[in-house]
Amino acid sequence: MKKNTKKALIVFYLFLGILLTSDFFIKKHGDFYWENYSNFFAVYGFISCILLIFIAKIISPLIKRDENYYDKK
Amino acid sequence: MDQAHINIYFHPAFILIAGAFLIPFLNGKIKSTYMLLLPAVSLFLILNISYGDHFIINFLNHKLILCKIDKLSRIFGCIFSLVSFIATLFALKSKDNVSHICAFIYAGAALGVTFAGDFLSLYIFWEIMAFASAFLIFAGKTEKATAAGFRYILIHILGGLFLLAGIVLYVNKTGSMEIDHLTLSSTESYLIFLSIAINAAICPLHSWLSDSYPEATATGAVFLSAFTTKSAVYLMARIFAGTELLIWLGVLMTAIPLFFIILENDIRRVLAYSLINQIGFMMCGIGIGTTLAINGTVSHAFCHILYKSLLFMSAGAVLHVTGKIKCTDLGGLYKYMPFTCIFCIIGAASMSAPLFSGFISKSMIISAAAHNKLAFVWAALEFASVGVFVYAGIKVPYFMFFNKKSEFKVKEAPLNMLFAMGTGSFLCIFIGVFPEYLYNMLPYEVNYIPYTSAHVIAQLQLLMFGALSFYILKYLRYYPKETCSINLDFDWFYRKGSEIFYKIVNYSFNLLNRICDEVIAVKLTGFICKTGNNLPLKISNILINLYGSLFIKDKSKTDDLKTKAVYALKNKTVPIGLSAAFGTFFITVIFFVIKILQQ
Repeated sequence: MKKNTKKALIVFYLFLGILLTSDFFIKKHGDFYWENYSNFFAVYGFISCILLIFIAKIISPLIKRDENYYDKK
Repeated sequence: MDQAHINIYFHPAFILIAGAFLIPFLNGKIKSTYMLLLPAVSLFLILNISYGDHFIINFLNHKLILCKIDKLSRIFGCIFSLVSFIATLFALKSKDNVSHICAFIYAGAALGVTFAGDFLSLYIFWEIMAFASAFLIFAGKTEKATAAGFRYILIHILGGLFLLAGIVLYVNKTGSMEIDHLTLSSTESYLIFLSIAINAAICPLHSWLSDSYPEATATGAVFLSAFTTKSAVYLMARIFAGTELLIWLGVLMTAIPLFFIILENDIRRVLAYSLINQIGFMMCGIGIGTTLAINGTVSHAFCHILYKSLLFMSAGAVLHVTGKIKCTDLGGLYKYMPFTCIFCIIGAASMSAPLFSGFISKSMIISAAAHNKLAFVWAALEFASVGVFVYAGIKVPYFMFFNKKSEFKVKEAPLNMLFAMGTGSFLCIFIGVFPEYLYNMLPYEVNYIPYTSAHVIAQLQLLMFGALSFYILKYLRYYPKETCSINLDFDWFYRKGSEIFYKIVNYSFNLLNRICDEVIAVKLTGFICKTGNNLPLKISNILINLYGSLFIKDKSKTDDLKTKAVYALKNKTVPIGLSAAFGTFFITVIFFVIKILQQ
């Protein structure tokens, strides 16, 4: 099981590497100038998801309640 | 009926609605075949009806068009009947005939809404849809499901009333019932917009969806995920295309559910929130309103129905087999349910990964935003796109099938469920690989090429690095832990609000009641009773005193008279003549008072 996870991770990292390097060899014609920066989407995707978790952690105490919250009288 | 317009003999909606009532009389294989045949026949009809108006009925000087076929309504009709076929296959083994009937009526009414050419028939199908779908939630048969079903039906009755009010004003103003493009300017357009917005689960009117869908049965949720919201998307596209407000509401809809997706513990609630998020994309597309955006919206609605029903089916299969649906209860099921696991991953990948359906549809909307130079909208949609892929697309299969060792030793889902999920998966991949089949059905001509190397690499980078951050955060234990809890949403305002309202009303009205009781029932009545008892005596005493002082002038005789009067009044032995004299006197006084008042 653990071996499989390790193998999958290696494949995943390799895939990420290929994505990063292949980006340099592609002709781009994005509608916005920042789309043409190399590896813009990798950075954007990575930061977006971290930002999401960060905000979710901040609002979590505001909205998280006990499962019987609505049933309590 | 106008004979000239009829070249079909059965309305696709009526096939499902009328056909539903035969289901309880059938059994075994005949029943299964019959149930699968109904949506298949309606799909066949929809594909073969010629463009134009059919089933026209004259009603009170208005033309009711029950079946208006154009490119927009046809593609929605196709996907609705297609998904009812898949969902029926998924629910085939269910013994609950009421659910079967309601599901078919619901699907039929959604077709009715789609093909309605006038507002009256639209309204009728709209209400049928609301009621039939509510029974799919009640079918959950838990206390929570019943309560959620009632909240659901209340919200939809409210939406229906808005629609009715809008229609009445519209018909009154224009004299026409035909469904036409509207701009958001008049009261009626706002009312119609509001009612469609409720059904489309536009934030902050979305909480009915995440509240009720997860309480439905394993099979009912599949039907629910397809029709109500997407028929609202269809109507928005038909009536309010190009309304700028929709762009911003759409952006809001894509963003808000993301946080709930992250924090939510119930898998089907995660799916419900991701459904709202995806409809946000469609609302943006409708708001942008260009041909590319509308094409994107329609194709995304098509793909979304397929992969969201696929995800609801895989969650439903897990619920059916294990009886559990929470992240905290599930995990490691890939060993026992490998096929369901694969289908679930295909459904999740179809949200936006290349070679799957969502990639070729969602990117059209995002490109439309980019072509219109809407930088903020573009950034928000890309943000939501990666967010929903990582936190719904990875979370759902991860927590159901991996994460930890399974607590259940269960068998794979029944064959009919696997076939249903297989069909959905096949279509998701087929559309992703051969998008031109879908593109050819779209309302406008498509000049869009999804598979350019730049686009594929950009999308893969976005998704994979999002996934990487998920892995890193999980590894660093920064990812919020799944706990047995719920998240407050906008439904708090009416769920807690109604409680507070009840308390306020309870207190204020009961206070009023108590005060009235105290003042009127106890004090006033007592006073009247007392005075009623004592007044004759007092009056007689005054009269006797007056009489005595004027004529008798002997105190003992006067007192004697008084004692007699008290005795007579106490024992009710007052001479009749005297009572009559008093009565007459009293009436005379009243008569004169009235006379004076009249003058």
